[in-house]
Amino acid sequence: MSFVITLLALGAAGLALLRVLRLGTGHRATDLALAWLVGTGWLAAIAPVVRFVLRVPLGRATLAGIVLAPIVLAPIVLWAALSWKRPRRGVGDAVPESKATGWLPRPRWVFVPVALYVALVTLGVLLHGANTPTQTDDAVRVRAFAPMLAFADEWTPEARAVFSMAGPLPTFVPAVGWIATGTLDQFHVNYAILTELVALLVLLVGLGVARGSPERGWASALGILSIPLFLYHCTSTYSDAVLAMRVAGGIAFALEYGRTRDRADLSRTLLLLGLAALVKREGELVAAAPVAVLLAQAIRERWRGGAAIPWGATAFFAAPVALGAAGKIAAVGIAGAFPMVELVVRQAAVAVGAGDGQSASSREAAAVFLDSGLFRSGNQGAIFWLFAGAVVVRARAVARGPLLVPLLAVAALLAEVAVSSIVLVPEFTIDQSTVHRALLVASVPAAIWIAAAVVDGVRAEAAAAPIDAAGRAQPKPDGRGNAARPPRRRRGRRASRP
Amino acid sequence: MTRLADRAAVLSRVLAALVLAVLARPALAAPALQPVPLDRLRDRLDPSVRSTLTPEGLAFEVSGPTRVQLPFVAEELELVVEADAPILLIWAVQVGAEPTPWGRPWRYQTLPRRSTAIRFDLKTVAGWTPSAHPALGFDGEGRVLVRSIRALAPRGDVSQAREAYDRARFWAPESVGPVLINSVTPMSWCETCGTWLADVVALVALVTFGAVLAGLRLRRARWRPGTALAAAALVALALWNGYTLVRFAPMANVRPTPDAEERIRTNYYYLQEFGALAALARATIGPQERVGAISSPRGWFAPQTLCFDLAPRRCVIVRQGEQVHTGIADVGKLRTSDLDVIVSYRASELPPGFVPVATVGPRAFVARRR
Repeated sequence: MSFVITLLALGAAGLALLRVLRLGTGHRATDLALAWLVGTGWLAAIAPVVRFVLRVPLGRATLAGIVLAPIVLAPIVLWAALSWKRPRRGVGDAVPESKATGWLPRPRWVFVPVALYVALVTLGVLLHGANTPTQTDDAVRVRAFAPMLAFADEWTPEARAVFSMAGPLPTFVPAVGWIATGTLDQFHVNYAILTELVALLVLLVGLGVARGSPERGWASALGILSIPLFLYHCTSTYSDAVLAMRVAGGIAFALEYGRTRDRADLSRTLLLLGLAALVKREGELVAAAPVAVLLAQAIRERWRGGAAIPWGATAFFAAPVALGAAGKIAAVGIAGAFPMVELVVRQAAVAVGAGDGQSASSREAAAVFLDSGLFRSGNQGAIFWLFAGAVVVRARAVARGPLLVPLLAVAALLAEVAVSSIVLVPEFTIDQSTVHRALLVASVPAAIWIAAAVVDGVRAEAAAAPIDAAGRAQPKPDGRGNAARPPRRRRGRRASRP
Repeated sequence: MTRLADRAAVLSRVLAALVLAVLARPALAAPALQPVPLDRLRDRLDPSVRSTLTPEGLAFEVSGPTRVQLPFVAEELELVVEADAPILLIWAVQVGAEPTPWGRPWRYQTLPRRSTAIRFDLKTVAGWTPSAHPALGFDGEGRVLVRSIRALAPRGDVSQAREAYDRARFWAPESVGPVLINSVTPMSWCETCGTWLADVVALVALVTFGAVLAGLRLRRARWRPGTALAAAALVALALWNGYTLVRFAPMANVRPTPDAEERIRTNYYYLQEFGALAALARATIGPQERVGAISSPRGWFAPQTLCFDLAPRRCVIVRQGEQVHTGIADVGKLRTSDLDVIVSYRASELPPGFVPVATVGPRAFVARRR
């Protein structure tokens, strides 16, 4: 099974990159999951530049990936070289997290069923996803077809247009195993998406364990697996679920950054969001929304005399975006590289100069968006009901605590989808053909935010009442995880990692 | 916490028993179905349907999408049926003379090759009423033999029938279909009353929140809205996820199938004949051959998906009357004269000089030059 080659090669490249960039968390499972997200992102950022800017062939004609191999091996070689220079300790070897706890938290009667649900649903999604050949129009024409073009490496103008629509990550990642072995198995597209799901789940649970809050990890996993349309999309070969998962990974680290104020967590957040920009034609716009919130927060802190603006960390977002953009521009020209920007400008002009007809359709779309899209149809499960409930119930703590900025980031994503669904393409909202899958980029991150808000709320209340009415001691709270109070800020210091 | 855990354990057992009782009730109380005489049925079928009464049963000659409206009312049907080709059976209802759309969730099943009893609940179909006639759809190319039909007539008065319809629709399994990628079937608590499941779950969660908040206030003398929120979220997710599992589990294909060719052949869930053709084409067309995929003039799905399944072979979508053809998303061009092989799925005719050499059915085959 040549997908194992993809898995190992990109996983190893990702691990090496984490070490080189000093972004490893020190928790093995979390780092393995992060390695897949970063390794695939590395390939997706570099491959278009090599293929379209440098015009180096990358497909099957290049003798089992003779050019692809250096791209994948480069981070590993770099890591080895840097480690050799500093032999006592590997570059980027992180200090193990001191807060690491067991995998399964208490109370067991809550978390055993949660873990069983997560395991059962994940297994079902993996089997159904692996079993199902591509059978939807958009996937056959664009999403799952793009890697076949990368394999064939015959980039006619029409093929380049497909690449621009699909984005670098869905184009190049499934093709690695094909290029390496010279055989094409369409199910690699399925496997790549399913691996994303497993990586995100391991990342969420592992990160919770590593940071002393396994409840948060399991609650996040439960949250994202409670979105019916998301589950179905993971079994298809569309890229909406992939984009949502990439953004959700970024939001998970944004929540950590809120708690720890560790610049490494901010860097991880921005890197994952930068890599999300490499998925689909709207990836850049989607990823830009939460990044804008994070940057606004940094500027606000600086303005109030706080820490310096983390320009270094912003490079983790800018680099993949710039590389992806360079590849796309070289492939299809600047006019075709950002079709969503063009659509936004064109539709915004239409909306501004529109008459009553357009306003009426936007009003109708708004009603569908709010009623069916967010709350009632069931596509997003109960996520937006819980989101609204969590915001209301925890409003005071959220307004003063580390959950605020991630909440604003999720709100920015939601606002972006709302504008797109109501103003830009109201017709697809009214007929409900795209609104539900467009919402996945907001609902999956929202599920992770809800998990954090709920778990932090319980912890804060347990911390406030350490002895219960019966005189039994309550579990000790995580000092950093008390959402009722903002954490102490480390000013002007870089991460405490070596 | 221990006492709370004990109560929760008891509660979970009671809930599980209740769920089992509710699920088991219809099976235990299943009423008997009445046989439908096939000879009388044959006489009352739409004459445009190609059917023959044989000693074995009622035979239908299926060529592409075929719809048969049965001339009686029913809420459940049982067919003892077999087919000699990959044919999809769709069941729906029809009220009045106009054919109604299949509706969601789309109800279908691949017909077995051996005589098998298939029983289905028509109340799970969108638009069922006690006066609705069952409608059967066949899609494929071949012969369907219905050995017997048994039906259960609608029971109870109108309000009971509506209640039964709402309950059946509530539990109707989701199914894979062309529009599932855009949205799941809307989840109603009571379809005929217009009540959404989401509203009910939200209400239950709100009540849970209030109850836990008040309970903790009384026991601990403190407001603990965070804990109440957690309880409400758990209840909401348990209800929602339990319901989703019940509806989605029957749709999931969880049989491990290591062979990719078998997955292509059998897992185009609602396009069995297409899957068989794709697998046949993959098995019989060489890697260097230039392929044309052809279908009916408006059939866009089959040719582009055939080209997808045949990648990395050079493949174009053949359009009748044109000499130069393009591939998926207009990638790649081939002239008709360049083609080595044609894969035809329900096309009306082939380009000159090609003859079928490997077939799934009369209108699904691989053709080569004479």
